[in-house]
Amino acid sequence: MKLTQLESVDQITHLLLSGSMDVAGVREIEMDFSRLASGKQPLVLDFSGVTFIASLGMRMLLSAAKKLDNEGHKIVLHSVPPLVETALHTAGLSTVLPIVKNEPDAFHLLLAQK
Amino acid sequence: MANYHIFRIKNTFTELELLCSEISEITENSNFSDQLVFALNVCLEEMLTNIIKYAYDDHAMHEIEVRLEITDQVITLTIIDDGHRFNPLETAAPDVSSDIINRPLGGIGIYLTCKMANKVSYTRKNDKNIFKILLTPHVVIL
Repeated sequence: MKLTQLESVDQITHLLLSGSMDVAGVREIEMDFSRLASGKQPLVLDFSGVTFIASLGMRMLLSAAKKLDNEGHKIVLHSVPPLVETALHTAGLSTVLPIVKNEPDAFHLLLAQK
Repeated sequence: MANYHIFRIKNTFTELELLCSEISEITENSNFSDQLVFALNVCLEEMLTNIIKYAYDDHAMHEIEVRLEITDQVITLTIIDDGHRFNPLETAAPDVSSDIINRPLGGIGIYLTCKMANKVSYTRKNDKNIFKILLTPHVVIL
């Protein structure tokens, strides 16, 4: 799995995740993800390249959401493939991990909350 | 005609990763729908992670058997372990309500598996847990 830091806009961290967020995938990125999703800035995650997610990946996202919440910031996911989105909804995570259609919608949502 | 695949792995995450990669080769060369492959991968990862993390009361190596029976677009996944008795179907469903940020994410793996499978069953035989999962193209939630 790959984690890429995209250009930060308006003090919002923007990360691109790609690959399968399975046991191996989470192990590959979790340290970098934890460092970049430190909670100090709102976080936008581009999920367009994520092909799979199960509870291990969800735990990693939830941990980031908790850190952000403690600092008064939010997290938003965008461009989430349908099967991944369904899994997140089923796990009841869509309330703490809001999902929007695309990148402009994600930034719009976070800037509106600032 | 059914195709059978039997895998035996040790109770480590490294072995789980290798197993997932071997099974991916089978699914990539099949005509399964994306939904079916996604559901199979969720069930495999969730149930085996659970066994590796919680099934054993010692630190010894154990063998976990994973059987795949494939008939057309129907997959029967059977997972057999010699851990302590654990019926996943008796675990309480997690509260997937909005306050998840303030509570642990316990039980989500089993919950996801049961949601994605068409049928799940558990038996305990010869001191082994046998968990069987039926997946069809009409995966329940996908």
